[in-house]
Amino acid sequence: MPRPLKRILYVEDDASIGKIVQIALESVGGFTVEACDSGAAALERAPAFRPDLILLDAIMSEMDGAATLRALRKIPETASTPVVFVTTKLEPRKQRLAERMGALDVIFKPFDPMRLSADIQRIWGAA
Amino acid sequence: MKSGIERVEEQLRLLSRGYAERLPDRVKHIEAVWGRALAGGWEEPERAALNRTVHELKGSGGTLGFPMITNAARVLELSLITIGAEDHGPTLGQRQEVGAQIGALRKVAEQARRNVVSL
Repeated sequence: MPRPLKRILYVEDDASIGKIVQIALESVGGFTVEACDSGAAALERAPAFRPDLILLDAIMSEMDGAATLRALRKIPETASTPVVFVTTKLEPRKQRLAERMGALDVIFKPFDPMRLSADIQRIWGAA
Repeated sequence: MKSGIERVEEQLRLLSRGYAERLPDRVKHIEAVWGRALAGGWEEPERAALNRTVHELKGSGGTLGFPMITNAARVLELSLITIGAEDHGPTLGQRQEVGAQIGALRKVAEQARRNVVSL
């Protein structure tokens, strides 16, 4: 990616992970993070936030990651925003779906929050 | 004075502690949803709620510093996936197996809570 990564829209409906990831991305990575606890919240906030990258949990209760991404693609501000899915290794179908949907990469849970920013920078740099 | 990284680690430790303190309640919730799924004839939405709750625990445990939670939840999730792939609900053997796996999850959740409380 030619420009630096600054703004991350993070969508995760599990509050226990959401908070820890937000702190890690902001404090360790120095990113500006808009954390959303549902796909619907992401759709509402994404246009004003204008993220450089979307970090999207694949499995959520109301609207899952794939449905959220399809809806985000219909919003002009996020129509082509790079996305990284977060899922677990037991979800090969979600992994294949992420690839088909043009995700930059997949981050597997569980992960080390202190290394997450470096992993995301690596993915961004390789894209 | 603490460095930025040390402050973040301290914040993460506090979040991890709060998570561990709530773990037994999360397992109780799984037990309750499992009970409702069985009582309701193994129908949606209880099945989906059960799968999602166990899946969340699997993902969050290791991320918050409790890999044993992830391991125990992974075993339980595999059983639920196997049961879900069949047309009928869980057999008696599968019920016993899942019951034992929830019991194992309860033990590691209690252990995690005790460990952080004693710190």
